[in-house]
Amino acid sequence: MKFIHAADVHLDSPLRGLERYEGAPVDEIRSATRRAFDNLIELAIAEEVACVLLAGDLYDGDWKDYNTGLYFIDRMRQLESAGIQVFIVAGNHDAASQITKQLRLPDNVTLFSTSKPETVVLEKLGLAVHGQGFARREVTEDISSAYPQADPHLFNIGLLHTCLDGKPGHEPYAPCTVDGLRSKGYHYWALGHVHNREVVSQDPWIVFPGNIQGRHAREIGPKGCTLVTVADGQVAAVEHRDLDVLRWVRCVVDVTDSASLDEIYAQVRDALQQALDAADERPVAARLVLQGSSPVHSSLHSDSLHWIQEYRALASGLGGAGMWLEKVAIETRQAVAMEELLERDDALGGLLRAIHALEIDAASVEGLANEVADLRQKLPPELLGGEDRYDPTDPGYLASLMEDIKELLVHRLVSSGDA
Amino acid sequence: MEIRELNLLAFGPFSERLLDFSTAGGGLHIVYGPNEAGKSSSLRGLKALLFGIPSRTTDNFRYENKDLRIGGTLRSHDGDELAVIRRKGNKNTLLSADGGQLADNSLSPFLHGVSAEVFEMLFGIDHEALVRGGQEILEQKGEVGQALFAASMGSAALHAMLEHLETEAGELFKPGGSKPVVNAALKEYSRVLKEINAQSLSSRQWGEARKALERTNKELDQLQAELLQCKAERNRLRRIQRALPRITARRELLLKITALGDVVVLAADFGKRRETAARELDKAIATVNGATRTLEGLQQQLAAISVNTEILELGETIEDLHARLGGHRKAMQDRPHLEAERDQLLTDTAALLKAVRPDIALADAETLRPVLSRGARITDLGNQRQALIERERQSVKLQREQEARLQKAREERAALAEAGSSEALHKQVTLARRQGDLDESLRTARDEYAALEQACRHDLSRLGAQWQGTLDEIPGLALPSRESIDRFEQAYADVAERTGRLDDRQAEHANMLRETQKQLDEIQYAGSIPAEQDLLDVRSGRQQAWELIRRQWLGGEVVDTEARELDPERALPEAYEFRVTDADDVADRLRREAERVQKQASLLAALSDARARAEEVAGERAACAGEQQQIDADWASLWERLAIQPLPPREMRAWLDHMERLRNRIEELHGQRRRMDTLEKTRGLHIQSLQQALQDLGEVVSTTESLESLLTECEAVADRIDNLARQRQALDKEIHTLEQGLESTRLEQQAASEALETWKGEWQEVIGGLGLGADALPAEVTAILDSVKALFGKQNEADKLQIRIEAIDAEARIFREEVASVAARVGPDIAKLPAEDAVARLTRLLGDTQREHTRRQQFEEQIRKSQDDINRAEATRKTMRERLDALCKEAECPDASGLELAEQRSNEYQNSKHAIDSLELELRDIAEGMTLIELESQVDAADPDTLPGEIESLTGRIDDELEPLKTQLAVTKGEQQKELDMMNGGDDAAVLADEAQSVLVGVRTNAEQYVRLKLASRILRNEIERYRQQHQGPLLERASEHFAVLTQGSFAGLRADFNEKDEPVLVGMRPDDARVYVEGMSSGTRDQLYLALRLASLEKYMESAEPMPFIVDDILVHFDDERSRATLGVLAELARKTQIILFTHHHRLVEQAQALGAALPVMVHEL
Repeated sequence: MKFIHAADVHLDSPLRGLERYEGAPVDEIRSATRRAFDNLIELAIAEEVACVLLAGDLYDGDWKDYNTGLYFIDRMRQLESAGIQVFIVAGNHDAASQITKQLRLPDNVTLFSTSKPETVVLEKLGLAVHGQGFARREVTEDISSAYPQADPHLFNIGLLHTCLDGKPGHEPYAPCTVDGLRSKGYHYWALGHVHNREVVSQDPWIVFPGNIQGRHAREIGPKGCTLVTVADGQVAAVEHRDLDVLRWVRCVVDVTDSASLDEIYAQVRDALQQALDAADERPVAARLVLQGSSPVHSSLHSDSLHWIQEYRALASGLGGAGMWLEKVAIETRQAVAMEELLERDDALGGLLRAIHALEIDAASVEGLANEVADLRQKLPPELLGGEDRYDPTDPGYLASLMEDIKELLVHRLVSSGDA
Repeated sequence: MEIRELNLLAFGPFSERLLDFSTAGGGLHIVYGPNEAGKSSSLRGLKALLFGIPSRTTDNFRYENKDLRIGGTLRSHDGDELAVIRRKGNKNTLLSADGGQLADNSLSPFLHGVSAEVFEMLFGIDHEALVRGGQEILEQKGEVGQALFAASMGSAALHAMLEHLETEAGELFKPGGSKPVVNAALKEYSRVLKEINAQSLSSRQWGEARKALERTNKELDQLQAELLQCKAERNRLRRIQRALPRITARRELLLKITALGDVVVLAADFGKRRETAARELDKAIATVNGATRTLEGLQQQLAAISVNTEILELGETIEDLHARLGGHRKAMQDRPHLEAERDQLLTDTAALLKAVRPDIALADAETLRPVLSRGARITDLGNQRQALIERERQSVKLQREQEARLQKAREERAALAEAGSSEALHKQVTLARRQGDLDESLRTARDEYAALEQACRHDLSRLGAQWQGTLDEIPGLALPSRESIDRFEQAYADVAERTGRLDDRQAEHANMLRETQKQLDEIQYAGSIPAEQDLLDVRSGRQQAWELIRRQWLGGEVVDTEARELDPERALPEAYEFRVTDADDVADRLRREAERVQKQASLLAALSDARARAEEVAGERAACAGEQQQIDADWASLWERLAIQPLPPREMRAWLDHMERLRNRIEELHGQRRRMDTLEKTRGLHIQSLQQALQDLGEVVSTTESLESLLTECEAVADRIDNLARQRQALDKEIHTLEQGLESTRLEQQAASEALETWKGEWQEVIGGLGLGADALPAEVTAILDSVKALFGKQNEADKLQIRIEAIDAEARIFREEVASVAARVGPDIAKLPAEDAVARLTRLLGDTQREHTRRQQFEEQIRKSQDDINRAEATRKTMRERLDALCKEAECPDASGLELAEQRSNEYQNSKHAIDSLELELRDIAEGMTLIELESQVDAADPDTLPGEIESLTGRIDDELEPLKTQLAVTKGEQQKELDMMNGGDDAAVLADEAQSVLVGVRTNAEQYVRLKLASRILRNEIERYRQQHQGPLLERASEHFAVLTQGSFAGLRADFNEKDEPVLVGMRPDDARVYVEGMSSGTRDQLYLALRLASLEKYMESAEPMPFIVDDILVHFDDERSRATLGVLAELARKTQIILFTHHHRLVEQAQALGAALPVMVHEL
């Protein structure tokens, strides 16, 4: 018997951080979460699995389009025709979702209760699935503790949406411990909520399959589901299968040894090409990070927009399944120390000292926030809040810009003679 | 910092051009070079020395990039000097004066963090920057802050840059705008959000749509049922309505049939048969009567016609004669003309004969005919004559020419000499050529060998002092393996790492020891601490005292000595008491201060433990040191056999690399030597073979060293020999050809003479009979032949005419005889007429007789026809009478007059019967499966009066109410179904959500740039103002002094004033205190104003920081002589404090500077 364990599908949640530009592979990434989910359906049918376990966060909490639910039902019907059972527990996002409440699921789908643990026994397969969903967005108690003990005559699976004992970057919902889970005597714990793939334990198997499709620059690397084979009432094999249709990667290029912009360009090309080659014919969304101390640090910073264009064009020209350069983060350092310039008692020294003072003293930066208060007022709430919040008046943010501003001003002052 | 020397070793147009700036006490250095002398190159060289040669340099036209070198010596303020050489490259571009590698940052102590760009900005000024600086002052309207700031930065376009920052920011975002990038993107974002909402489907919408559809379906079902019922009722009523009149009519018809009683039913065609028979009978009687009358009239007319049969019988003969009459008349007219023509021809014939052969009579002319038959042969022979004569003449002439040419060729051949064979020589040359240019190869090989050897020696010298040996020793050297070096490096690293770790641990232990000791001390300083041992000691004292008391008391022993020993001060009882108390005290304290005691004990234990561990570490450390020594020894012994004191492994690896490269190169060198020797040998062998070949040919052999020149010589000899042989061969061939030609010409001439003789014989033979001699020319013979031909032609024509005349006469006779015989049979009067007239008469008579005969035949035909009509009508009359009799029998009628009534009754009965049948058919149709009886009972039950009303009301309900409702519901259902179908799980909203995110990132990216620009602008403006407030006073004062000098007193100085907007601005003060705003100054004056500010800033800067050289590039081009001299003065004055290097193309400046006098030190360097 085989079954598939997936979680955190977040159907129809948008890909974040991809600014459109000429040459970006827009069509290649269309409906990425749906296409990844289609891959899941295809895999389940091809592998002739007995059931599919979805460990929460099927939808995105604030997404209201009922079409998403209709799409999901359609795919569940495909599994129904193939004789595949589906077990779902609601996660924190599903609890908040309007779609969940209205949907009439086909007969092959079991949605576990959110008020108490339930057990579904499939006698023919010798299988018992235990589960309980989230009744509301914030569940802070250990709901696994109320799960029943394993049935010794069956293969027992626990389906649970949890942060386990706390994972950075994830809300601390339905916390529990490995020991607590182990004490239930189950063979396999199918967990969800943590977006990174992780095998927490092999005895019993406690697995986070990660989400099936990365949706922003922090969800990098291969994404997919876990395919489990059961033989003689024991787990015989646990394999990860990639389902993602777009691969997010972080390309870090250390430019310390490059003396010229041309050399850096060549390094960037190699790094991007490598990332594209590693993605197995998938389109890639890459964040390019340039690090290290460099003699061309100033040129990179002061002309960053130009270089972003250049690297985007470069990424577009690499071919393959296409590459979207999500962001170019220039985090290089000046190769020549500027300490002595800082001490100079002239206009240049004064200017550099002023910028330096702003950089290290957040309080003095606040005075500058007024300059951009108008801008803040116009920004939409989606930008001012959320995980990647952007507040142009935030002193920490303003202080972080000082290196850029220093290079911008010095470069323009120096080259103003050539203007 | 100061530049002591600039040595352009290999740069631009220079090689080893030294500029010595090392005069004591600074000074103004003028580097003068006319155009093309390399002033700009030397200026670039100076910058390149300090900051590196740009990767795209233009100064590589004389030396290649890799060979570019600039040397220089720098001296810092503290007197440190450094001599360096700069090469071009990305890394490691600094070399020491002796060629050793220097770190790239070696110049940092001299440059103080100044980059190339900053150096050019702060410590360089050229003419362009000066003009721009002046222009900038005008653009910022003399604003003091910007002017001072710009002069201090050396930045010439501060104002423009500030404006540019604002413009750029404005293009990105404006609070009230809609076009700037961010504003537009925000608008786009809210549009996409709206679009997402529009495309999104809420679960409520979907549920409602589904429910609505279900509701409509139910309503539609109900309506269908009702409609069906109404339509059924309406059908039933309509049936009754249709059946009602038919049932009534049927009943009436049945009554009528009963009333008719018994009726003979006649066949359907009875009436028609009866009428036809009566009509045909009447018609036949009338026909018989009419035809009998017509017959009688016809027979009377026939009897009146008569016809002549003789003429009718001769009809064909008469028509033939009539046809031949025209031909007969024509022949009679032609005959006289033919006779005249025949006579003329006979006359002409006689005349022709007389002209050719007057000796022959006309009757004998026939003897000439055989000559005429030979005409073609005569013409053919005549044509051949000229060609035969010409052929003989040509062959004689050709024979003579050929004989002359043969004679000449034979003479030339006899004059040519014989020569030897060049084959051997060719072979040797080819073999030598096949080797290529051996001279050149040898030369190249030697050069390469020398270069390689030089390179090896160079490498050897670079190997360093570690190893002293010769090149020849190197191939045989047993070098340690790279793996050994790696092993040692690893071993060193391990030991070092271990040592470090042990040192750390040692320090850690020492620390712990100190810390523990400190805690122990603290406890102990706080008061003595009773120890378990103290208690044991006191208790043992007490026990001792008690033993003594007991011995004294119970044993009566004297224990004084022992008691004193125990306690010299106290008597035994007191001593015992004291010890009891003491023991109690100690025990109490132990109990009371148990914690401190415990702590002390644990600290003591920790202390001893820490010491033990420290010793252990010290031991390990010593072992490490031992190991290190062992490795050192092993490392040294590894290199012993090479007699090398090794450096650390990393450096020795580099040495080994070097050595291996050198070894490879030496192998290459040996290979090159072998190639060179082989080449020399090959070349010698070829020279020898070539010389031998020449000698064999008897040529003089030169003793040249160059293979090439020997080859050229050999090739010339071979060419000569080959040429001679070719000429001889050509002449032999020509003589042979000429001899053959002469022989064939002789044969031809003989044949031509024989052909001419044969012709003459034949000619004489053919012209015999014409009465001409054998030498008659062909033209004469042809003329006579033509005349004979004409004679015989005319005679033939005359004979033909005679025959025609005789034929005409014979035909006329026959015609007349035939006419006469016909006329005799018809009538004697006609026979008397001439033949022509008789034919005309006969023809007319024949026409009349034929017309009468035709009329008679027509009458006979009409009579036959009338007789037939009468017979047929009689037969018909009989048949019709028989038929009428049969009809009476059929109708059971006594005679034909009752037939009509019987027919009427039969029809009436049959019609009623048919009407009933058709009504019943219709009723069955209407009944739709019911029996007639059931239908009749339904009809009888219905009320005919209310029937139409009921039907109308039902129709109204169906058409006006139920059907429209049904249509409407069907449409609604369709719409609802469509709406539901469209809610199909599409991803339009999701795709839009992606787009919204994408727009949002765009907003963020551009907003970030906006923030950077805004902040940059604000910070810069703040700084400009701060700088002005801090430095305005002293800077303006100094600049004012410079300005006065630079303008040669045209201005007394500078001052800060306020303009109409109350902003501080610069004004120039005239000696009479008049103010001149910058807008009022000439451009030259503004340039000097900018220069004054720059120099003041520079001086101010030097007050607090180490000076850097100030590089001035031809700024005085547009200054007049006065101001130019003044500026030089100011610069020379300033040069006392810092090094100033002025580059110029203009010799005038050199002269002006030298004229400044000895007080101001000026050094001129000519390029």
